[in-house]
Amino acid sequence: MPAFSLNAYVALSAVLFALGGIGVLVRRSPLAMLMSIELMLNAANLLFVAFGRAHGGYEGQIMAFLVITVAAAEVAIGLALTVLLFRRRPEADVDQVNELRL
Amino acid sequence: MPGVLSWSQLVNPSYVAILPHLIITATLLVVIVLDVYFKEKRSLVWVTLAGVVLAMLSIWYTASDPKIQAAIAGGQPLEFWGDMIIADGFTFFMNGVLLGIAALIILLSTDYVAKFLRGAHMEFYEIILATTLGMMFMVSSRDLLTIYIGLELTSISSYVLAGVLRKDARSNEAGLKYFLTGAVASAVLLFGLSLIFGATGTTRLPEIAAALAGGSHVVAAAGPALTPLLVAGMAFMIVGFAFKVAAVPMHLWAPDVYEGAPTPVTAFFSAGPKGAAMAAILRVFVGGLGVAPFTDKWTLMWAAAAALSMTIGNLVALQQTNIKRMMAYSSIAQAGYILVGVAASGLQTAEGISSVLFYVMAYAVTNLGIFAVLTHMDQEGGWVDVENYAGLAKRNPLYAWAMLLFFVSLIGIPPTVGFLGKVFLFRAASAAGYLWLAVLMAVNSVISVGYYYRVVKVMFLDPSDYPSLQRSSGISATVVLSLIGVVAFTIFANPFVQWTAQSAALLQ
Repeated sequence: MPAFSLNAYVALSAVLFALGGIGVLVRRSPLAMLMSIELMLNAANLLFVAFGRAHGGYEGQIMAFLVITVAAAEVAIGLALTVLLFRRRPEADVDQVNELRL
Repeated sequence: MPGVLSWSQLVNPSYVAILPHLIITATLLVVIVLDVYFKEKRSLVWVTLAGVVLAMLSIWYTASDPKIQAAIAGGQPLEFWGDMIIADGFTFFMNGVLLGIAALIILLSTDYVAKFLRGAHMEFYEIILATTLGMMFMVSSRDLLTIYIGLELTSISSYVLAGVLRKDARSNEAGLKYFLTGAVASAVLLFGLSLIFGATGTTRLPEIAAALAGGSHVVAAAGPALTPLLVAGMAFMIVGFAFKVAAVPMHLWAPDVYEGAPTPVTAFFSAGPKGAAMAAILRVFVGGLGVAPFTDKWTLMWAAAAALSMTIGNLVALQQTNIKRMMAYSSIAQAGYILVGVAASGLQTAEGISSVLFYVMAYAVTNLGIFAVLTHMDQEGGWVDVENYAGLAKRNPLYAWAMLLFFVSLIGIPPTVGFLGKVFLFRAASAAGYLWLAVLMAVNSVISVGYYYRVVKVMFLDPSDYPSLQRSSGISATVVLSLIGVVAFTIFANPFVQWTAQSAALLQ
């Protein structure tokens, strides 16, 4: 397996993070937004693992595992809230959710 | 004395250090189990409250443990569980404040929950306990890992709380909006943490500080220099934390969530997670990034956030007709005041931190008193507009006069606890060279008179044909407790000031 430099990992994770951020801003379906948020979290995870390997020690990898767990909990809550809201309205589009003024 | 073991020698101090956390966890589990067997939910609420009060008392036990006390006196507070939990004055103070907030929330929500949350009566209290546990871990650690986990436990539980009224479209919407924006903010914060970890090679805040000062293998080569990695990490973390305390420009979620969430939950959001996030900001920025070339950068960024939050929060609050929305903008402005102290703590560490701690305590007790009245008005007739408060002085004199005192304290008119808090913030800011920020805070206090006065005028002067209010013992108790708190913190401010000063000294 070819060894990539640390810079390559940082660049990849920056791209992933930016893609996730753009996804949240552009996509209007809560499910797609949820997936974009996952992308942002995993960009951070990639950085933790890459930096952890560069520095030696386990801190980065432990952090990555914990973030994966937290992300799973977050998705569970997010899906529950989405289901709750769209049980009463079939169209899944956050622009339609405007009971409260913004 | 050989042969005779004292109690404190038998008990592992690791467990003593997290005794308040353990009690809250145990209460949470006990309540979940009892919820299955008990039909009479109201008595279970008292179990919850007893657990929180017991946890508060246990802080005193933890703080008086001889080993922990000796370590604090020696200036090197002990850390437990693989250096994940620290037993210092800052931890004890913030845990006390957060548990006090939880106790008041449980007390003020009893009738509201019994009326509107029949199907999920105990779930509400279980999630309040879970959120409190998250906040407690967030303030009791000097490790980014634990702070992040605590913050996520707080946030994820908060999303559920915002959407807890399952049949109410506005509550659902508040929950989803809070979730989507909050999850993005958490991801941004985490990305910032990973960059800081990359630049320094550790998640321990004291080691980060040492690395930044050039004492570690990673940054040593470059010396104390502002690398792009560090600046980016710092900026991402500021954005993430600014969201959690609802500071401008990351404040847009607050009015919607505060309006849509059930009123006791709004009360909780305005005091608990905000105060805990302020404490975490102090730990991370003063404890981890408080090193010469970096301090100037982040104090300036927090000062800008403080100035914007105060000004925009107060100006927009003037135009609100819904009182929950008005209090949302008011709490944005209050977050701005607290951030003045955060910015000051970069340069005047001890004064800045103690002023933030004192103001968080003063703000929490005052705001919860106001929200207790708001909860009563909401549960009785769905009255959430300012005009619904007409003639409150006749409908319930206690509430009206208490609200008057709380508003006076929030504005910062002497001789109230809010005034003392603002004086401390003002002094810290001017000592740190942020005189313009201190003056802006004074100007903003004057602007805030506008919208608070409107409510007072409606309460005392407007005629009304609304009926007088029914009794609600939980809410009356909360209002009276808040009144006692406001008065006691004003008259007996000295011990609290000393306590915050001691807590601040340990953070350095």
